Amino acid sequence: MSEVKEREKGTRLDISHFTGRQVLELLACTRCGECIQWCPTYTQYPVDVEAERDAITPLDKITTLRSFLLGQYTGPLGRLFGHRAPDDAGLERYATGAYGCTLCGRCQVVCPVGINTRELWIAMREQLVDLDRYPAIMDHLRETVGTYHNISGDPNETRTGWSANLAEVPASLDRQKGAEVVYYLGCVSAFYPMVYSIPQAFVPIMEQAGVSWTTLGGEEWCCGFPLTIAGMGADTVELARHNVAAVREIGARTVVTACPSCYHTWRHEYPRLVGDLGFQVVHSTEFLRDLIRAGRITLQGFKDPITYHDPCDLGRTSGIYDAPREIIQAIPGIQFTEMQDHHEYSLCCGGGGDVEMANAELAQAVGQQRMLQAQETGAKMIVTACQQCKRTLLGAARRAKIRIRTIDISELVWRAMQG
Amino acid sequence: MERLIIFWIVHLALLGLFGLEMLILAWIWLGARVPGLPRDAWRGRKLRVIVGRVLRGIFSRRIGTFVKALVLDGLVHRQLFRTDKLRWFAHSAVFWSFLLLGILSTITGMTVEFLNPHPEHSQSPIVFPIHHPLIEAIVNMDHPVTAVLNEGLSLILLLGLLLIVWRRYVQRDAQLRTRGPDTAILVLLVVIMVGGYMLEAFRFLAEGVPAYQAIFGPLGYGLALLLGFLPLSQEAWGGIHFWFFFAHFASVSLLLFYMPFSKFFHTVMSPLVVALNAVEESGGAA
Repeated sequence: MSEVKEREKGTRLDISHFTGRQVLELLACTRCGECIQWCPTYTQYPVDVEAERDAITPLDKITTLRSFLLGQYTGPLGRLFGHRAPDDAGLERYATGAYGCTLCGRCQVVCPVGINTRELWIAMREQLVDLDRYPAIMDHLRETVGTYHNISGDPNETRTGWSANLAEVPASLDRQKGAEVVYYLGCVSAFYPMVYSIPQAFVPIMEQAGVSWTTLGGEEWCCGFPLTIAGMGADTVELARHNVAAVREIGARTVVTACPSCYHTWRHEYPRLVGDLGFQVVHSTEFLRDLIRAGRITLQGFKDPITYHDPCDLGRTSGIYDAPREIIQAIPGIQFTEMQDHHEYSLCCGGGGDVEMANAELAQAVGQQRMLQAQETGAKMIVTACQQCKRTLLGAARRAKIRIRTIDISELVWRAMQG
Repeated sequence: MERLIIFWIVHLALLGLFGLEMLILAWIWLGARVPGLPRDAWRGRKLRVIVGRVLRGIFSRRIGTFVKALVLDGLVHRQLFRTDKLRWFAHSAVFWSFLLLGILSTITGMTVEFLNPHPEHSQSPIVFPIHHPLIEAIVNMDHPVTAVLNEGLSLILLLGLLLIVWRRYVQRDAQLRTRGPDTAILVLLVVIMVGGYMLEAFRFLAEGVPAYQAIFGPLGYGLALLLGFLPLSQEAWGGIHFWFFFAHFASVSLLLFYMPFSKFFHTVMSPLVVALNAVEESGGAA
């Protein structure tokens, strides 16, 4: 694990970080190990550090936490059965496991008990933040988001920088009141030039379809997802309030985003944090699908054979598998092949769970594995529906020298519209 | 002192200890967060809210989803069946046999003490003797049905255990992580099952059960035939049976004592969690 914060560190767990359901799930784990072979970071972790590698497995994290709790709360009785209260070494190992996870949620799909692992891992991280046992880089993330309201540390007013390359900058780009749709870019699309191409494709599609749209411009703040999954969910409330208020000020009826993590946060976390939003939240794949269904955009065709990568936060976390495939199948003459792992079994790109921040090499290794699966299909392009997936897969392909291009589904649609 | 008197005294004390362990687990569980309540809510308040939600769940349409998932996924394990039939068989063999043997033992114990048609064989001060073929069959361990049920279920359980041991220690599936607690549970289960057969053989020898009756417990009977070659009197076998009964009882009690704090507790919790997950997926609050 990367450098862990050096501050006053606690060792006593606070069980109220976990729900009653999660405690039952800890006791329900059968130790069958089904999760291990499906864990993308475990399979890509360097094998020469077997103990550290094992700490990453879902099985180990659950067993360790259960043992910690029984050891802490039952004293001599628990010790009689081999359970030990958490100590420095144990918590260090446990933190390695908790932050070495991409939160892809594949373990949840294959778990015979159906343990809601993703939420459990996030609760574990919250506990570790409470004990000041988390990678130091997470503090940098928290400070950056708190100061600049984005993850890159760039001035937030430059969020529309990607629009400079548009043939014509739309008049409605920045906070146009009365717009029906707010396009929420998310930090990655707004600040990482590598994926500027996503908004640069999505905006012309909306323009051609005659959508009344705008963005929040410099008033778009980070959705809070990176903090939530880092175990710093409490810091998300202010971000949620600001973003929701900004959309309400525009008066939009719909928020659309091409980022599955932002989508999940807006759709599922924000109502929990700020109550009823008063507008709908859709992902770009749902939005584009609806435009196609309504005949508001016309697809001409696409030549290159493609495959599709299900982003974890769009598929497993949010349950959206069909919309992107419906879009792809709507393109005349498309040659589409699924990869070995797809839908709920889809392999992670490695870009989730803030792993990239704590262990960039591990994230790249997972991404390379995914690109190899794409290569097996004979596709020339891997299409995804997530800016972070695109960024990670592009990097992985470059490092592994795999000649497959990665594009977002918005780019696919835009190209298919042009024929 | 009578064997069964000692048994009941110790058994009730151990049940009390098991209950205490369950209370400790419940106390830990109630320390966890309950959605909709402040994190630091008092345990009693949490319990009230949970009981209320459970009762509302029982009297709602969600109960159908709960029961269906409990049976198909929690007890029949259809996901495991689809994944690997051999693993499913091993797991089911152990789970179902253990559960049914437990139920059978409880029914037998209660019947012997409280409904025994031969009250002189009961240790209970209150007996309501019932003369019925079913009761006669339950209290008589050598009755063909009782003997076949006990021995058959034990054999299936032992077969399941052997498959699990083979997979974990011989085949060494890559996904398995065998640690001390995994071995402890398996050793306990094997000791209990093998001990059960030995106890049966000792009883055949101690009580001089005739072959036409003992044959319904073929493994125990076969073992008794082998042991019968030893130069021991029936009285000596009686002594061995007396003490081995307590050794067997101790191994079962140890499992019961260990269960709440071990991975074996999943046999209770996983069906519950599977069913709760199904309710949540169907749109209800679990």
